[in-house]
Amino acid sequence: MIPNPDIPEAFAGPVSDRLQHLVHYGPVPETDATVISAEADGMRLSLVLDGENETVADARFTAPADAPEAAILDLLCAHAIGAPVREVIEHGLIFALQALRAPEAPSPVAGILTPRNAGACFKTPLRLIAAIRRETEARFGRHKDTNFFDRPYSETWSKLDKIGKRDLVLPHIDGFKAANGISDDAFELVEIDQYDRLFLVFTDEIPVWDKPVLLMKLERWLRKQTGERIELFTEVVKDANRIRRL
Amino acid sequence: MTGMTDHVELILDGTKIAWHQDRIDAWERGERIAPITIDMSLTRACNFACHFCYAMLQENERKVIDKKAIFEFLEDCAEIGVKGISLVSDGESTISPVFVDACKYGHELGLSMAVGTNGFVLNRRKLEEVLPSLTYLRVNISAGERKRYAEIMGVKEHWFDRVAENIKAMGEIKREQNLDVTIGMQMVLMPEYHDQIMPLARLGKELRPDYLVIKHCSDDEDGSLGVDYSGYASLYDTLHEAEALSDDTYQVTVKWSKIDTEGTRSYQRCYGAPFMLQMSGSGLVAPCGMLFNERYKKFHIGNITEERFRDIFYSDRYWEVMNYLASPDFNAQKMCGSLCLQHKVNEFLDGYQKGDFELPEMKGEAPMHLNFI
Ligand code: SF4
Repeated sequence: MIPNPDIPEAFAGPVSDRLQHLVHYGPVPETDATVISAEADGMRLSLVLDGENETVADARFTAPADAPEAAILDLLCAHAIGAPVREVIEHGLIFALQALRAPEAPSPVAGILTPRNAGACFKTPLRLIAAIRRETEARFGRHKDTNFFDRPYSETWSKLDKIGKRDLVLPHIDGFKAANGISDDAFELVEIDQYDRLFLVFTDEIPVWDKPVLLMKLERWLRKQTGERIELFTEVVKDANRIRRL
Repeated sequence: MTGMTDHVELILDGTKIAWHQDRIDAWERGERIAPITIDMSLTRACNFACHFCYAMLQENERKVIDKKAIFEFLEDCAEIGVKGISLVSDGESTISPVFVDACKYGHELGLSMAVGTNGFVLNRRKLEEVLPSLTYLRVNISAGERKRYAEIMGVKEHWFDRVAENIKAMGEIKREQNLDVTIGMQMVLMPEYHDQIMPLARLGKELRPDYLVIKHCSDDEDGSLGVDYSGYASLYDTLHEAEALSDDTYQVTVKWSKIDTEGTRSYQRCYGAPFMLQMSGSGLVAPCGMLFNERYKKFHIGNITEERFRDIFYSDRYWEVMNYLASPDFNAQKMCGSLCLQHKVNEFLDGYQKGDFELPEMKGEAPMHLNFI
């Protein structure tokens, strides 16, 4: 494969994978619903709204099917469905960026990666989103309240009790230990709290400064294996100041 | 420049990030930007036991920041382009044996230095030595009456007198030596301290610091300190009354922009930490104070007592953590405590990143304390 200069190395694999299976490609089917559309550089993005409540019921795009932008817009549409249009405008592209990034590949930038510096292939999607924003604001006005949209845990996860969640996660933790040559005793899952946060306790086997790196790696692994936004923590340490007390 | 100066604005409720356009541009290009401001402490220890103290929630493995560590750290900061260092964070820096040397050396290196303190050990001799090196010195004092001071700050009643005396001395030394330093008082306000708003505003008028700022109290995501954010609304009249005590050389400011939000955030991603880093008095480098506790080990990056700061700053690990906070892996609305130090910077950068506004062109004279964003 000849490398495309518009696609940073970190996205090359995921982009070409996504291009094989575009889900939201094509024009919007005939509908009476409100459609917000934008066009730029020969590409089009359309969001079909669910009644009056500004939630995106369907999202479609058109673009040259082998262009990297097609992969980005496809992922953007995937994030859009079920979300308020405002969420798509504000965060759609960073979700697409995240989904396209092979975590182990070097980042296209040394500092903070955003759609604005992620390479030429994000230019048109950024233009489309800016146009969607103008169109939305022209229709609904500018939002003054706060966007709290957050994808919840899956229904399957939410229905599980603590033991069920533990049973779901433990084999993946064991798999991680095995894949990384970490002994069974190195750390243990001790709690899943009411906010679904997972708390681990380490033994001395893992050197102090390996723990933060390991925690992030394990969290990524668990998110990938379970599809849930797992959050990892270690146990709270109480204030060691002798005169101050909570 | 003496006093609070004539034309230059002292921003106590807001952010000065927009004045650092070069750093924002570099961030946007994806460069590794040095923090403009680092907020840190020289120790985790403290001689007070304030009822509202967030440091109770920030325990992490304690290490000692000695003279070598702090001097190397300051040199690294100057080298990589840090502009201001505030000694506030999670400990009482004035009780560290390296306090005076750190302030002087940072200043010599061209860094803006500032201090937040309970003000107890800062007697006239120490103040004369340290004030010429500082941009501002702010005393935490959350009551205007002895008895309540003792209750809220967890100390003996007569400590109030000594701190008040020290505040008075700060202003006197500033005037005698014609220093640039700004002297401030800060009230961390829990709704239940409402009876102390006016006594403290009046005390300030008597002691003559340059300002009194009244701010909300931060809490963690579990509400461990029990701050009742809905309780602030009933105090608005009293807070306005306190502000009305301002005169030409004494400014009373309420951090309305934070109090008004009732502890909520408009943003989900955290872009502010690379611009405004926090470090613990243990030497720990973590993106922010709310992530100091061992519980947030995942975010811990390094320790300046074990490694040079410049190496920590240039490490991939530093940027991995900062990128995590800027990515959809992270949601500050769900995962953070309330109203962190970086809050206003975050609001600004998030709004800009979302396309809510273009970078404003900053005209006129820059505000005071520009290096403390
Ligand atoms: S938003 Fe969260 S992570 Fe960012 S500085 Fe504030 S508390 Fe820390």
